[in-house]
Amino acid sequence: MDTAVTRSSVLHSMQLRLAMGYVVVIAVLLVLLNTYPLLMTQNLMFRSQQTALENQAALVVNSLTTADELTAETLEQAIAPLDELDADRILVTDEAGLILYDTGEVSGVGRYALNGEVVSALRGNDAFSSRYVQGAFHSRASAPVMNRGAVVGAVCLWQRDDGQGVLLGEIQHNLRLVSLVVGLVVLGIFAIFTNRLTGRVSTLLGGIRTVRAGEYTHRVSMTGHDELAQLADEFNQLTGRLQATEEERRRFVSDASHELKTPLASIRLMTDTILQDESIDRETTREFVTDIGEAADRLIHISQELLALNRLEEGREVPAERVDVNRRAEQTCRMLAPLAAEAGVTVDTDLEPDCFARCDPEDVSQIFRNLLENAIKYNLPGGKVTVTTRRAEEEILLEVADTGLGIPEEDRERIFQRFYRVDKARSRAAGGTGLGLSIVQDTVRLHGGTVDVAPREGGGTVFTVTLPAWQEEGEA
Amino acid sequence: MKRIILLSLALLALVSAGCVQASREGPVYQVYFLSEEVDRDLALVPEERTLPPETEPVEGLLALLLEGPESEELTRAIPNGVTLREWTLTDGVLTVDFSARYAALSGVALTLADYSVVNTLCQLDGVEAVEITADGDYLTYRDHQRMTAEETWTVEEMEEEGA
Repeated sequence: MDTAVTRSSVLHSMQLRLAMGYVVVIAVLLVLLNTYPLLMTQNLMFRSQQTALENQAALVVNSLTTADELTAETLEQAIAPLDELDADRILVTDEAGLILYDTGEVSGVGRYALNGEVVSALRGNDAFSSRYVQGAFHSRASAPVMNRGAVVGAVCLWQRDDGQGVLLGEIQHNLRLVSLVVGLVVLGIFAIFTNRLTGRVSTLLGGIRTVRAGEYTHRVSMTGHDELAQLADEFNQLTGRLQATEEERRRFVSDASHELKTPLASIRLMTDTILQDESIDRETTREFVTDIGEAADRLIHISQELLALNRLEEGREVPAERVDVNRRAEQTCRMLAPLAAEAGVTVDTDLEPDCFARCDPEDVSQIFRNLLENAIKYNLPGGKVTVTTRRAEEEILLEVADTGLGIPEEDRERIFQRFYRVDKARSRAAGGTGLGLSIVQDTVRLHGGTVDVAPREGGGTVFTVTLPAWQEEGEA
Repeated sequence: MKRIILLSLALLALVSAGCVQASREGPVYQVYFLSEEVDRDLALVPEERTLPPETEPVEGLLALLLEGPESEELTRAIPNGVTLREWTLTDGVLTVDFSARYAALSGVALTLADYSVVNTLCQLDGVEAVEITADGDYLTYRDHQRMTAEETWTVEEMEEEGA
């Protein structure tokens, strides 16, 4: 199975496809290199042969214009003195194609030369043909012999040119040699190039497979600035995000387990005590049962907040209503007044009129509730909480400032993480779940707003939330 | 029963096929026609033709010559309108008498027409030479009347004797 997969991947590999493409291109180029120049050279040589033979044929024809009749004697007398002729064979026929004069080794005199060139000449046309056969040019040229406007015969010259044939053969040989060298060099360069390219792709592919196997710390190292390097960079960033998400998930599971374990362990301990200690009095039992109830409430509270966070993460549809932020702030302050009184904290408001946000009313209340609860619970006795609203051009600003101990700088970035607490013991004692600020952050983001935390001048902390302002129709 | 019928049908098919094949068989000859390509070794080019079995060979070949080639690259060497009047074979000399229109030929056109007939008919057993007349008369301007296939160059001779 593995072998089949490997063979299949080799057959479909990028390198093989590139190789096939290059081989086809190189083959086409080499075929062109080996044919076009040869054809051109051959054509030039044909032309050269044609010019030479046609000139000689014209010379013979001119020498015959003075002869009254074409006979073996008159032809011998006219042609023999022509020194310029270097044709291998000269043949002259009468108007019927009967050979009258022939310089060939085996004379054709008395027979009929019915080759294409002679027939063409006897019809009054010059004719030429040349072939490259077995390393030599075989050329024939013919011309009509005219007398008083009538064709009385034909001159046909044969030429075999081994010299030019050899030259053409050498060119062909050299071209093949050059083609071979060029082919090998190009294939070598191609092999280096594709190895480098596919090697980088393989590195990237290996990285993806490693990350797919769960190794989120793996990063792909790739030099250069090309598309592959950019792809590797994007991949590394994506892996970084995956790693962060995975770490967050693990921490969340760990924290959630811990948060749930604590009240469950209390419940188990107290029920064991009640069940095992037969001498326990009724009053103590009542206290233990009350504690068990509180632990159960805490579990319910954590579960509800986890469900709220889950709903936020699921990306529910965002209602876009006109929310009177000041009214929601005042309602929340009133609702938490008993808690503030119990903690000895004063809650003040500084609300700018006409602060309307584009949001879900319940979500605005939730944001105020969580921030105010934190500000009251983690304040100092006699401390103060100030709720401020401001209207900017396109957003509504909500501020909740307290006069508590403040949040150390190193914790500020992490306080929005789930179950993160600056002071764990105090938080649990105050009934916090460690999820309130996470809910605030997720809610604000869901509505396109922001949440920031900063130290307050004179001590304490300021949480600043922005929400998109409600825009009446026609407003920009 | 079915097997017998099928076997009979198969035998019938085989016999029919054999009959068709036999009817197609006949002597094969080279019939010479004219090529207009200048760079051909020879202007007269043979075309392989099969005569029907019962056909008289001389008349069959002359009919093919007058009918013209099957190839579109070739043409008749004998002009249109020429018909066969009669032929006689005496002592290896075949005399072919065409209609008077044949006498209109001269020069190389006459040579090509003559030797398309001579080269074609000299393949027949018993035919050593051919004489061609037009309306019963010899063409006196022809330098000789009794013609043989050896008087023209063959492709092999062209290649051997040429440069």
